[in-house]
Amino acid sequence: MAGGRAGAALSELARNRWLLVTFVLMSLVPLVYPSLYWLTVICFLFTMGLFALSYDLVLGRTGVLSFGHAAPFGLGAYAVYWVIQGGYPFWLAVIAAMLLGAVTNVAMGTALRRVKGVYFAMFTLAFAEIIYLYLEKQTSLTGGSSGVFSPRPDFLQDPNLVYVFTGILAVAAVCVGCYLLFSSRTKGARVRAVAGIVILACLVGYAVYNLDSSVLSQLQSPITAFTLNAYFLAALLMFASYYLVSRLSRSPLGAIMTAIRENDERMDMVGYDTFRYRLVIMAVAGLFAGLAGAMFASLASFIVTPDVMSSTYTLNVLLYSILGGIGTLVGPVIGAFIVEFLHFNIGNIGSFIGVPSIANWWMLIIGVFYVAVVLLLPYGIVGTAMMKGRRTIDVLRRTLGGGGGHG
Amino acid sequence: MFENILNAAINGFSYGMLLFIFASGLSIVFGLMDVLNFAHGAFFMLGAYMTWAIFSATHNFVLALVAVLAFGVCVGAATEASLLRPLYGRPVYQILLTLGLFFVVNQLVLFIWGPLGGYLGPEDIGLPQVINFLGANIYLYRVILAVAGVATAIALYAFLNMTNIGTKVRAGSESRELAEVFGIDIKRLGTAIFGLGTGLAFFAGGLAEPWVGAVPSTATDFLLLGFIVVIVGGMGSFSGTFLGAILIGLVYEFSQYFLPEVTFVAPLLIMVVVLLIKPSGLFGRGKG
Repeated sequence: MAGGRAGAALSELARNRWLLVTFVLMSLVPLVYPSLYWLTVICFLFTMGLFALSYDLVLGRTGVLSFGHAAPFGLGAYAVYWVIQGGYPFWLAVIAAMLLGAVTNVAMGTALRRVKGVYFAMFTLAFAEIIYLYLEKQTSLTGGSSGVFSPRPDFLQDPNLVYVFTGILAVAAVCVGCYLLFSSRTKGARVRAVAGIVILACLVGYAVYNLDSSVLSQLQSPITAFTLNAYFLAALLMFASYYLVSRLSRSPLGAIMTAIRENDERMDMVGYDTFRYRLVIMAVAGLFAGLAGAMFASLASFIVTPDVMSSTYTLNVLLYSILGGIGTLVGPVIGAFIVEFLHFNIGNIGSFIGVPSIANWWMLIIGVFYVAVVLLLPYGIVGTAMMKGRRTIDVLRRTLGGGGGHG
Repeated sequence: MFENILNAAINGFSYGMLLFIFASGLSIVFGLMDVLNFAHGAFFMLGAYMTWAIFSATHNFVLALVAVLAFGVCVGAATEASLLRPLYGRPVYQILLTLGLFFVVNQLVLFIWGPLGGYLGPEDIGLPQVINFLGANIYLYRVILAVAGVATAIALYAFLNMTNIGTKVRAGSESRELAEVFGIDIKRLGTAIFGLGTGLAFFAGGLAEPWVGAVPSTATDFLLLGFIVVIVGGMGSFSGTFLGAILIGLVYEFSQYFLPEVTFVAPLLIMVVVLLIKPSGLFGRGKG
């Protein structure tokens, strides 16, 4: 099995093992616990997670502070509506949304040649706000301030599609199992691998049993089928995007981006056209923000209002990023999950801790989040954890005298 | 027509002076400390609400203004000393922190006074709503506001150019390091100046109360307009902020009279164009 290609595939698998495991576990959720409410919520979390991921490309990878990231997102959302409204298929709408997002971000990014730092932040804020204020008035295009109904693609209401997604899930589960088997070299690891495979098999088995017995009977209603399919599609898109983005940041281009973020003047001196690289990343970030917008419009939300282009969404994505940890890729996604999960459940949490009115204090909670994270957790949850982890590993290495395998 | 043009001109200049008082706080703070204060709009709104509350209790408008100004200076100084001080040299984190304060203050105001807000008519503070001038009805309070704005501008100018502290502020804005080398305690100066800037936001909110009222949405609106003014005029430049405020005030009011659809878009467009053509501002010396 030592063939070059198989080895490369295996090491690629090894590098993304946590991504794959998370994907498998998240995809099992609707089969094990098919609650329409929770599936809708988590589908929304996937959308915001992807939105946060695209923002981390801009702020975390290249160190550019953009206050206009709602523009590619919101325009992506409306692009889906416009294209589907025009009678074109869903996949074309998604591509249009991604392209529109990229074009919007590139249009903003061209200003980077002259406008830098906080001035660029102000520029993008104004740029996005102008688009928002203009389109909010175009009632025929955007439905005005009350918005439009989400464009729901018809094929997602097909119950048979659930089986396709279940198939993808099974393949991913098999990949995890293969990885666990082939990568374990010591006896203890092999025992753990077998245990992992057994747990995984039990989960998948229960999911399939559940699909047969309870989910299947509900699938006949189009809403259930749509919710399940939308959930799977959103999960697939977010995890695939995450894989692409993390691959991009491991690539030579990613290394150049990091160098530009750390010291752009030096990179300019060495002969890199930093402006062009930043523009490329703005374009890529726009693609993914547009995709997130498309997911928002067609999968995660019931209505689309022009608010998706307003600074509210930019400020939200900024909060996800700092809470999770700027520049860590996974951090902003986790930040999005935490913030939006809290936002959805603030009422429940309030009644649980005996303060039901806490739901009316959402802005205060956000504000305190901002202040507390900036002062106490400046690298965010993931950033701080990574630094702590590295320090623990360093301490271990030093006390153990440098021996001991791969950390 | 004459009445409209006259009123647009008076309102525009007056609105510009209001914007100047507000934005000069932003500008001085940015000039000395490179802090882009996103909480400034919320402080403006809090100033308006407090003026309304104090006036309702005491029926003395001038007293309310003075109290609000003093309170603002204290709030600003305390904020700088406790929250902003650890974040020097990290502009993104400063922005995030002040953004957090923006939300907190907004929510506190909603919590204490509710979303409806309050409005003091000019009659409440003992002034006629309109007076007749050359056959046109003009709003008296706005003329008074313009005069107050000019007076504030003169006072600020004198403070910056004729006092010891003002000289230090200008030195610090020129070069932080050099000022420190010459023995200026830049940290204490920062506390004082952030206090002054915040006080100006509160003061502007109080002055604006008999015109725009105490409403939650003013926090965002004025924050945006304030940023536009300082960027169009030139960040950290006193005269630039003054001229930029008049320009934006006139554009805002004239568009409100004659082309209401573009009231907010026009100032934003001006800012975008200025940033693209001359990022250091129309009247700035080009620090950025």
